[in-house]
Amino acid sequence: MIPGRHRERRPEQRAATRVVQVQVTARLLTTFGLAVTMVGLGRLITATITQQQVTQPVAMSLTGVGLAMVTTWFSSWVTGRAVANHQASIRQLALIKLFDLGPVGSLDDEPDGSGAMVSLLTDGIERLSKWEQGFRGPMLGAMVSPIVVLGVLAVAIDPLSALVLACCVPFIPLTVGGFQRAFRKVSGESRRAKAHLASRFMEAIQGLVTLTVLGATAVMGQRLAEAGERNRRHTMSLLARNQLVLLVADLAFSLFMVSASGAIAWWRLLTGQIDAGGALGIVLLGVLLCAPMEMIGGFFYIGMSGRAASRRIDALLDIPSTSGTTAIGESTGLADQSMIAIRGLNFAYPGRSPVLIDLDLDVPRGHRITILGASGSGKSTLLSLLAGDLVPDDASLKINGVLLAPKTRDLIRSTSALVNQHTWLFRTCLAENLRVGAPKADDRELWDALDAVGLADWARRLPAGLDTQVGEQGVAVSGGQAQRLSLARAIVSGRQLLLLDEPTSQVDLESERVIMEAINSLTDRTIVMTTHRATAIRPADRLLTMVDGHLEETHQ
Amino acid sequence: MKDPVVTWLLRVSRPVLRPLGAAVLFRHLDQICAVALLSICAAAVTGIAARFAGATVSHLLVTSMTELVVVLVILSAAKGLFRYLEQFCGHLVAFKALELLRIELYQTLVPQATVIRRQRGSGDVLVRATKDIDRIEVFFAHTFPPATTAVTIPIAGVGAIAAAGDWRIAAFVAMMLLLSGMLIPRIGGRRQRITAEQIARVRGRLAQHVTDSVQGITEVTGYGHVPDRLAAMEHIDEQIISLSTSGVAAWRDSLRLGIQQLTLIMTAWLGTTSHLDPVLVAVITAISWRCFDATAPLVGFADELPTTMAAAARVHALATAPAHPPAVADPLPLPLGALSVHWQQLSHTHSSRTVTREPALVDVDIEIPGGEHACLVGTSGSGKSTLLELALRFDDPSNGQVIVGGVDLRRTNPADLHTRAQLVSQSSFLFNTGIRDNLTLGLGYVPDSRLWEVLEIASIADEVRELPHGLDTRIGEHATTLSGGQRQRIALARALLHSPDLLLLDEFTAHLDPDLADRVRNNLRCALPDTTIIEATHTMRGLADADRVIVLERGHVRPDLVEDFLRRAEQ
Repeated sequence: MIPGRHRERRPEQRAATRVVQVQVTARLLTTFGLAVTMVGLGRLITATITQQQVTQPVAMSLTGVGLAMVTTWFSSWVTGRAVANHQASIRQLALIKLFDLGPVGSLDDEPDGSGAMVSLLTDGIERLSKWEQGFRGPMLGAMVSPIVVLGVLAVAIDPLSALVLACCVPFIPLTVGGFQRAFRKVSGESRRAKAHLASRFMEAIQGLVTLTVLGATAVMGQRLAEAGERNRRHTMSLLARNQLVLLVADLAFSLFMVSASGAIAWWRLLTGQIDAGGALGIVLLGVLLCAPMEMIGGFFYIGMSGRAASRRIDALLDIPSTSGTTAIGESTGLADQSMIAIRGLNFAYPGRSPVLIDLDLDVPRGHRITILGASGSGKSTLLSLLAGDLVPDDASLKINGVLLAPKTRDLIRSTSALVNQHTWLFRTCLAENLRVGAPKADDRELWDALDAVGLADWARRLPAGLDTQVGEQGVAVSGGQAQRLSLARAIVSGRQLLLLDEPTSQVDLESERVIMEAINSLTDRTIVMTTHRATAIRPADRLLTMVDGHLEETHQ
Repeated sequence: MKDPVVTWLLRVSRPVLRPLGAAVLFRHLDQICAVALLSICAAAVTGIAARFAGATVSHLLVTSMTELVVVLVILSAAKGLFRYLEQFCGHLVAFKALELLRIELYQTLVPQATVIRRQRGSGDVLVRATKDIDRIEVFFAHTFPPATTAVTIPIAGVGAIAAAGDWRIAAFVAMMLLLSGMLIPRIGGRRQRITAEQIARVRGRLAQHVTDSVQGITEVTGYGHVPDRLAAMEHIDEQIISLSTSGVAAWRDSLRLGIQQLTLIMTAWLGTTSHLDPVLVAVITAISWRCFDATAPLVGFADELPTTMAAAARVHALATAPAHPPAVADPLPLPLGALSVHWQQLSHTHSSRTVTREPALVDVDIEIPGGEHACLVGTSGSGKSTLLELALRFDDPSNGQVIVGGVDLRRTNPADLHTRAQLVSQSSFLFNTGIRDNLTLGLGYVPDSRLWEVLEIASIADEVRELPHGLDTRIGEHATTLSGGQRQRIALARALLHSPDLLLLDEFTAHLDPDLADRVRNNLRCALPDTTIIEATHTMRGLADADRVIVLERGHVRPDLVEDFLRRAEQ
């Protein structure tokens, strides 16, 4: 119930806290205004009984309403801006973190991992901000507002009544606290059950084609129905028990606020301590005391999902950077004039057995090497290291004379262009996709690169030429074409070191031929190519095989 | 005019309409208790105050504090009970509706599954359908009942005021309720709706931008594009910020509050100055207050209705799409024994809703007699996967015929075909359940001995024996993860259990080292001598032993390349 842990790690937290303070204050002032209105209303309705003028209570009520309207407007206005701003700043933080972790550190290999990440960065952050900046402040204000109401009661009508009702107020946090604990258990369990059902459903949908071929669609459908039914019964019986707490809470509020204020008003009236206006005023104020109750429903929906999203964002932000450890001294024995110089490299992913063991490699500038090895032998890991996406613990790898270390990562990255097995085309035009590595490249460079990969004619035939949209919603591009575009990107970037991870393993024969020709024509660059097919080797300066985590010279 | 989406929704949710009705009923009772609680309290206090001050009072509701407390306690208890029952029924509706919608979607997707998969963006469509279903469920269960009382309670309340007191006051309250409930939400009205649409569009762009950043992270980090991506995302977020701070929401909230309170003040003033019984005035004020409270959900309802209807329309479109390939009135049976396959003068382009696509196959004519072992060789994009899928009637070809066992597939029932023919491909799905269960899906009881037999043929029996729970080991997300090659072989074993007369293999050696692949191939030949086996591959291994080799390149058959490939295979 207390505003979430103050994580100074998130600097925007201070601005967010200010917003919450404003919201709480505004809420308290609104409550004050409404309380004044209630007092006035009480006096107004009983004016004939108490033989008083109506003007004074009317004026009082109107003033109260005026104040409440102004503070409500202000609170809403602040909230709207705060929620949008909060989202934007958290999103920046999250994306910065993601980029910092890099392609290897952040995502699981499953395609689903990135879907979940995108969902977290869009929907998740939206829920987080709705909770932290849209709901939490007003909710806190509502929780504290009974104090204001009782204050007005004490001053304007009768201190003793206020005192008695004040004794009833502690029941609010007690019962709400009770909900939180009880509801968290059932909401946790039922949330898990719901998630389990949802994933089974998704699974059935994803495997629908397989089920069709196996003739198992009916069986799976039946299983889904049965699982759904079982889950529903179980969850409903859980809820039936735990919702009783809600009944108790509702009862408590009705009893201790509305009914209690009625009884107290009656009592004080009959003992002559207050007049009719005051008595009715107490009843009306009792309704205001129930304000926290209205917030509880919202808390369980907005609050729970918002806090879940907050935990996941915190988990992301907490992932340690791939900062290697310590000794980044100058290493001996690594040639500075080579493009790539590796001596005694050992690398293991955290918690797994070593992939690269005592690896040596020396590649002078302008040379080209091909690395042969089965899948899983460590070729991709080596390429990730050369690209700067992974950082070794020891000082054993130099690119273009620069030692690879956390501080020099970006510099190393800018030296090489990596062409992966799977390319991602951005949802923008062809020209922008090609310019990723060199934003200032002019059109002629783009056409030259397209020529080199044999896609110039294809590009000329496109509806809008270089400005045609590609990517998921754009022009359909085959695997081979995408791979060639990726190579074209690398060419446009002008980077001196080209790293190609199985560049022709997924492509059609023509693309394979074109890609190999293109690679051969890039005589001025240093090229490292990996493959698992012996037949894909073309004449290279050197052929190396990955054996037991290190490289061995091989002869063709 | 009957909206087909609404009709469909009502049909699907019929089992849930009764508990929904119960939820609505209990909500009404809860609200009535709320009104009664406040009214009685106010009336009793005012009454006794009047009596105490010596004024004449029509009649007193309660005469002693004990009576008052008893009545209030009973009402409180009743209110609590009704609230509890309303929530309970609401949750009941929620769970049941979710189940019903999901089952409906599943059942209606089954006949279209093989075609949807090949459409671009199919993953997105299905993910969105599940989100849409969640939204519909929330609306049903939690938005609908409060929306009903938002209309009925104020009407009843105004009626009560008219009956009990002054019809002028009743008319005034009615007018203010209408103002608050109907007019206020329209403030900034058209502009607000346009803004909402704009925000939705910008959010769509944001999602795309984030997807690009996440999926393309290698390119972004590798090419030093990080600052640009961050700046672009900030720019989009700024657009959202400027659209979200229009201040309309603030005016709405503030005016709603103002109208509510002003109505109460005016009502009290009118009643008092026209010398109505103060008890009556108190009751009228209390009723008015509760009526306004009841209309609060209307704001949320108005916001959510259009998005929910849009979601329902999308699911409806998916659910009512025609079965594809279309069902056949009098299906022809397939002959017994090994099945031959003839792709006859065939061209095919995969359908797509959004863009025109290149043809997958052009003028292909391939005949494979029954019992042969044939290899379709080609790289990605060559069309070999499409050929295999057409042989299982995943779709009907754009031009030409697929003839299996002498029968045009257009005249058969896909379900019959699937009992005789099996496909093992990269997208063969293994479910998050035990190995035994995965193997026997769709087959009922199969003795373990038979399971081990097929696992041996697929060359994976030893590895399964080494697993912690053997055949009962769970595979999938949260359990033992298998390598790609192991999954492939289990999928193969699963296909073998169906004793197919036609076995189609799509790159099934992709994750296997060459020796293992050879072993599996030999096993298959020995174990299935009377089965037509068609293997699609892009490697050279195994070509030498095939009865027939067909080369495909970019959707065309290339007999001129066969020699080349065979020569390379023998090296």
